[in-house]
Amino acid sequence: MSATAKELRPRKHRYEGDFIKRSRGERVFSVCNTIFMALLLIFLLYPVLNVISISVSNETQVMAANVTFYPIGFNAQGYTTIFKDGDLWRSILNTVFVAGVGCVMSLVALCIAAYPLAFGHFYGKKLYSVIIMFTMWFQGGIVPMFLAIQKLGLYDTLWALIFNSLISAYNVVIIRSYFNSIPFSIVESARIDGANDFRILFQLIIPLSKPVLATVALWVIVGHWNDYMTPLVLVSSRSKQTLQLMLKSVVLAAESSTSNLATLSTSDQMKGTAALPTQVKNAVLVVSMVPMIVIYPFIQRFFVSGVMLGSVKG
Amino acid sequence: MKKTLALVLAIAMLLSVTSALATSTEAVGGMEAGWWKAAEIKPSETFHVDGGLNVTMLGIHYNQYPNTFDGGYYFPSVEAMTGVHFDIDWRTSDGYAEIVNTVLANASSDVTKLPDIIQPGAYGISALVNEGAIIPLDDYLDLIPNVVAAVGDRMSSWAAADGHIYAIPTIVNVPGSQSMTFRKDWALKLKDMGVIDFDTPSTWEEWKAFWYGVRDNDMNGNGDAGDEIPLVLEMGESGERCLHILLNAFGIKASNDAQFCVLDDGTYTMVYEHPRYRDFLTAVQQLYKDGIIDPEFATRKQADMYNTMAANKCASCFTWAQMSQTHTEALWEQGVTDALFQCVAPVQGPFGDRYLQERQAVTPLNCITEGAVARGNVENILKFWNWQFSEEGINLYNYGIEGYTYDLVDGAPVMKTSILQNGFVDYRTIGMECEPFGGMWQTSAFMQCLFAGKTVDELNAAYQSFWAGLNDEGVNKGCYYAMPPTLETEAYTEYRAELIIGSNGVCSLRDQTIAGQVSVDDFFARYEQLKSRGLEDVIEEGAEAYAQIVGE
Amino acid sequence: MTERTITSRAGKKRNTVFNSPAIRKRVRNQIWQNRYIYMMVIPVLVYMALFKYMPMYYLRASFYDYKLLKGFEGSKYVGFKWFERLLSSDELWQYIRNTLSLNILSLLICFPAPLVFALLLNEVRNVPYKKFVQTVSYMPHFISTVVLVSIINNICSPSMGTLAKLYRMMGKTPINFLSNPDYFYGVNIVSGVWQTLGWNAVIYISAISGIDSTLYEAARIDGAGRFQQVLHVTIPGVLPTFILLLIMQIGQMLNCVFDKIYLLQNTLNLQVSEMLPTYVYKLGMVSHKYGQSTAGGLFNSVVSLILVLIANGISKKVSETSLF
Repeated sequence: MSATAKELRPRKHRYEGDFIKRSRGERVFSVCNTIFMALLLIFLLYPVLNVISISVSNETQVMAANVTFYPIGFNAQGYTTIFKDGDLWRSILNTVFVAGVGCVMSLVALCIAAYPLAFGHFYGKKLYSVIIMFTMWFQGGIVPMFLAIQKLGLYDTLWALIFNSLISAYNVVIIRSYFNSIPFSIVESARIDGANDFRILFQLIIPLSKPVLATVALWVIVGHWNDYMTPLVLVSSRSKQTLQLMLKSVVLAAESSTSNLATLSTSDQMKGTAALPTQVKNAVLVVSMVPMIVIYPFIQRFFVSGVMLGSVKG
Repeated sequence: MKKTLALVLAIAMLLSVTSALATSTEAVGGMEAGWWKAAEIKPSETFHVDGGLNVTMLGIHYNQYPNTFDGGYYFPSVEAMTGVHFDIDWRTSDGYAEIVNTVLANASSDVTKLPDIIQPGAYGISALVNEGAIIPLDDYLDLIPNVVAAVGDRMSSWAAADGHIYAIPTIVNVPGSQSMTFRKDWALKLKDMGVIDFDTPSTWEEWKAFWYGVRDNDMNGNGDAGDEIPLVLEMGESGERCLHILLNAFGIKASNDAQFCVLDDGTYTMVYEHPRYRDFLTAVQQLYKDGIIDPEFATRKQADMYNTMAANKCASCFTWAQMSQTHTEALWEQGVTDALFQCVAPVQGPFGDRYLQERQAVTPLNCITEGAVARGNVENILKFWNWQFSEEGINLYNYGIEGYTYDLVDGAPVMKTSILQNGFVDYRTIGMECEPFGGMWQTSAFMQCLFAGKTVDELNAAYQSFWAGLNDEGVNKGCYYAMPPTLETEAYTEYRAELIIGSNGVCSLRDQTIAGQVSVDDFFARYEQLKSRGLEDVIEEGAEAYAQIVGE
Repeated sequence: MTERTITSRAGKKRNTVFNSPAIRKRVRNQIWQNRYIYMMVIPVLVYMALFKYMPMYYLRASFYDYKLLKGFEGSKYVGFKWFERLLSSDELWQYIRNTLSLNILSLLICFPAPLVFALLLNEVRNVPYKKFVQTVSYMPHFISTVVLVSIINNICSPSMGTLAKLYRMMGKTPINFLSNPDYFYGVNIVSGVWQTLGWNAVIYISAISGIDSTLYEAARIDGAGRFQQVLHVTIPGVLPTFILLLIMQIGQMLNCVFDKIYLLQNTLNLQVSEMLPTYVYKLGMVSHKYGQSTAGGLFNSVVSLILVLIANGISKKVSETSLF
């Protein structure tokens, strides 16, 4: 085969030529690698499968450690029990509110914070940048955060959770880096055309930044959904409990039956016993993790571009 | 495809949310929803606030009580009788100290933001006093004669370490309700096998024979000889519950949190000072090593312990007598028809000691805050609690409403059998004996719940075991000692975080010794270091405070 | 951080002495021209002041015997008492040692694992299989710490856990992973790998996909097999990213995943599991020593900041990229 013919062959895939040339060692490696990945899949999936199986298995089988990959003695009582629990659902609604509103507000605020860094040339830019960056490396800590939120009158409101993590320096850096990759000439010509910076940001820049915004949006949502520490410190009313607090008190509480669930399951299932069946606990776990696991595959395609920009160019 | 799936899931979750929020109040505990509305409740003649009084409160809700009291008779009746409306923010005991923190911080420089009443819980009375959040009640005792009378000579459990009284107590005039319990059916099985030659273990040697027998044999018949746990221990916050039964067996009469004890000569000190503590540690370490003590004792929470009972794995444990009954019945339902958790006398130690702590009858519960002072509510609140401890209050608290939940028979309240069918379950579900709120629980009410109109002989084996676990006539008769209080002296508050429950604290050290990570000699060497770092002060101040309280 | 050079507008003459009227006018002009930018900057600064810098102001609680109800006016000023106590206690060094031990282990295992995973995944030929593995590998990242800890309990429990079951099937006594200090770091590392493997590999995967394909072409023409290609093209391609992340990681040496550590603590592993952040939390929120707790937090923050600055300095030297 001549060199020209080789070059002319269309290159659909980087490794296309390999098929013929793969050595024995490479084939062995390929097989091993495939097997290794399969084992890895088991390692990654097992814990979650286990939780799901336990949540729909017979309690006795669970206690005997017989339930592993699949349910034994299928029953959905765990779910019927938690369906009745108003506290759980309220905590989910609270979390949906915080994650949803927090995500939208955060994105807008982050874009506004990042735009001057990327496209502005103004007196005080360096200082502005330092003020934002400093918060990435130095924070007040738990007690001071708590005192400040209380002073601001936001204590024990869901807004405290939203505002506390509205603008994080790390996210600003990531969005700024992405903005930097947008040709400056676009902004310049828009300015010449008389557009003000807000219009440029919202009509030009943001539509161009979908990958990074999707990634950051996901981070913010996941952050709110899974945060345990901040609500623990900033929210106290029963009506404002977030999902993770609820989970902690149901699943990891030291005392038995600290939640409504125990009362419900007590009267229904194991009459009188104060213990919350493992099955019910795991049903709560499943309900709490499903939304995130359902969302992320949709935004997955943005991960690579978003993450890449943030960390490398950052 | 992915999108449809997500949509379906989202809709399913939304539907379940709406359905959960739409659930109506159902009939509970054998009573129709809102049954009490028909009752005509007259204002009390002894105490009524004309024009009404709104009292805010932060309280700890626990265990078997309903946490939404909307459907219950209790608070509406209280309001109808006294004119006092309670606005209670109920919290779980889990993370309660954090909640109090936040409530205090919220009232920073404006005490009117404090609720009128705070239950100290894990935050501790002394810490509330330190913060200046609550007021001493010493000067108000003439407003609450009923409470003073109800406490009687049990002042040592009412007064705080500084000698002052800070809280309205809740009083449980009910037999000590915790007991050692064991699987009687397993003991019989072992006897049949010739492993042991008794039905019920009593002495240290017998208990050991039973435990080692359980360890070596497949008692629950699931083919695995290793999954039964001879002695399940429940940790609690700092080992308070689990170690009692063993401390007591060595003659160490420990306090509620297993940190303090009173020596035979009446000195109040830390348990580690007790002459038998070394024997205790050595023996327990050996038991752990031999696989007798729960390998998970350090992480075993109350709920987990109940799970082992229900899962046919627990051979013996120390818990509420009622749990013997409920878990025996739970096992029956699973088809283990011969199962029986039998309440027994406390383990007799190698030196012949046999003790069990009395149920703490008087527990300081409701503290009145500076917020109530600022609002001028103190007097009425105290008068309310005085009413709560009057006959009227006691009847409402224990028996409910006459004609609906109880009748007067020969002048004594007798509860209707309809609400007693499920023992304590229905009784509490409809809001009776609302212990989280506080009041005085009568022995009579307790016994009526237990027997539900039957005699001892008519009870099933599970209930008989429960009955046996109570003290008046039961297996623990004569073993009770008055549990010394945990005195929160200044030194105690100062050093608790580091020297008692800290990473190098004595609790962690003790557990490591039990688990064999630290030798008994090292334990005492390191304990001496802790003493020199401040535990000495804790001991001294505690002893002084105790002498003073007992002296009074 | 590579600033692009931009030639438009003002800003270049930042250091000019503002003495002539012409320059002053230009300054005014520049500010006016940037009025929309300032309209963006100001609210952000206000937010930062209220939510990020105001808590720092409350750090002064570390010099008080702070009482929540009384505020600064009513609390006693104690000077450096809390710092002195912290620095003189044996525990401080224990906490720091614990944090460092866990972080160093994590640096050795959790940190390179995603790179290895990315390299191996890149070698998987079957595209749907590869995509599937990749998607699944992200999943643990979306699971909260509370759930993770429950899962750890599920699996490690000596009475009802899967691991105990395995041990019994092999005829061995189950190990109590959760209350044996020897396994505390192990449990943390394995669960850490589980949770971060896929997600942290994203960056390497994108770095690999960003490698110019002509480099592979050239290597093949030079007769390189696949192993050589990986060795000479792929690995050098991702190395800068790896080093940068490594340096960032070193800057985080004194931090820990608070929730996980806190929820996994018990009296038997406290010797190795107590770290500064958990200690500070308990001191403040559980034992009500707010001043002492704030002092501990401040100490941790300052030391962390120093570490970050050092890491950044090294980064500047080594890779000519810095974080700020």
